[in-house]
Amino acid sequence: MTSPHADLDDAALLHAHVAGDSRAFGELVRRHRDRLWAVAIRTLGDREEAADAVQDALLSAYRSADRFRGDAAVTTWLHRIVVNACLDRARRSQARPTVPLPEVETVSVRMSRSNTDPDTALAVQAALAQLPTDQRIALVLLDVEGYSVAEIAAMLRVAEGTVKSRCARGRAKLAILLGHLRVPQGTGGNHPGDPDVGSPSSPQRPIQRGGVG
Amino acid sequence: MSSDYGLAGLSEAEFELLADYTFGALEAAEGQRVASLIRRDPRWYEAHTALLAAGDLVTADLRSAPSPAMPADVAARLDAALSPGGPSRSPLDVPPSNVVAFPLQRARRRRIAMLVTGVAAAAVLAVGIPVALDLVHRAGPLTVNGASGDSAGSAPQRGPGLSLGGAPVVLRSGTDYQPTTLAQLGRLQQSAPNPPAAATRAPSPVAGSNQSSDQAKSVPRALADLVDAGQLQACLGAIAQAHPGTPLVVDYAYFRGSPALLVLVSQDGRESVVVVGPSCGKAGADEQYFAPIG
Repeated sequence: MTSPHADLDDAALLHAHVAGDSRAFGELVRRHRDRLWAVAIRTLGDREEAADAVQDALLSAYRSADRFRGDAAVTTWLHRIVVNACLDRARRSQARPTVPLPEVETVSVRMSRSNTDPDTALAVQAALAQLPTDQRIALVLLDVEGYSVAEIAAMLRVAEGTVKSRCARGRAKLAILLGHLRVPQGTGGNHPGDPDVGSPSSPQRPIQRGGVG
Repeated sequence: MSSDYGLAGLSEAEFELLADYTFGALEAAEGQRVASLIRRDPRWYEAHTALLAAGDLVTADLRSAPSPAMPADVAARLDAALSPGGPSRSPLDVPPSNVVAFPLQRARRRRIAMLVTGVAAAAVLAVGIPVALDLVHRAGPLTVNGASGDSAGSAPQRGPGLSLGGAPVVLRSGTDYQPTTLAQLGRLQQSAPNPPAAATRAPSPVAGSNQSSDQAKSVPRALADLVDAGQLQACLGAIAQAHPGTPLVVDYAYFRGSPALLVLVSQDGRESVVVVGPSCGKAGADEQYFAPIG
């Protein structure tokens, strides 16, 4: 027997919840909780903090659903609330005397690809945890969740240039942490003026959106 | 990370500038300046080339990392919280605080993690959810002003702040806030020191008092009822009815010369300060003042 909510899209579920349907919001959460959890755990790096942040956020969404104006997708709205709940917690964490290392070994990971290297996943998680919170959140939303720079800027209420810079610097730091950044030994021949070297005016690499090559 | 990234000898600031350029975060004028550096300086050229290639690998790593599924126990907890008969939307009901319940064991672990052996007892009030008083931890005596009455006339002392898990930071600054100085509350939260250290380097005691009675003078007598965890819980719940959000900081202090509890609330990334009086939680929030600060 299928759920009566199975055929409702996210906006319809939210409207049903506002109208008093006691199960609609739960159905909405079940559809998206894994993705919301992924954002929280990658942002905070701590299982319990992430659990509290997601629950805080969804309770807030539950109560404020009548204020959803439909100017963004429901998932974007939910992500915004979760991200801000994570930011609140991360800010509190900065005032504490110790910051726990990410408990990556307790993260429940679903191997969605048969060729996924679990060591890489752990290395990525550990490296993300070493980034400043702002850079980490921006990169997770851009490169992992696939939001655009404009969407992230709206979510975080900052300028698009700020999002780009946070992603750029976070990506550069991850390059070092993950061992991808190696500077070729200077031979004196690899010089912008050397005719064997390509165009010296190297083009800027645009911020990549998730899913775009 | 060290200030010298060892990346062709670039400093941290230069590395960040190069990253902004390489990944398209610079405005045109600044971008041209960096492009010129890349053309003229072999260090910049080599670093830029390396960063371009590395950036692709990082993106590939981020996209290929498997998405962690929500653990079953977290999902079950969420289902329970959102089930029919769960959170109330009625304005007449006292809503669960947005500082959500976390297991007692985790609260105890965090308390242990934050206490240092041999530290002088600091009077700390931890506010957690639910109302269960065993979540209220008293590392030392927390008393209110003595017979001399409120300490409005004495030097305000800032008690240590301690945050446990997701609970708000609790302060006893004794500050006499004005409408124009409420933003200090946000900065106090950000600069809350290590509780053990704060306990040992307490501000100069009030003249004539001894060190051990400093803590006793830091909560105005009128706010004595709000020292009780249950009463404070009820107060935060009353505040949440009018101002939904996450309480980040609670400060036992003064507002315009009168004893007041100041609560820094965050919602959707925006912060506000709610000022309430001694009756908060008894019949409503006893709200005295409200102001967004960010």
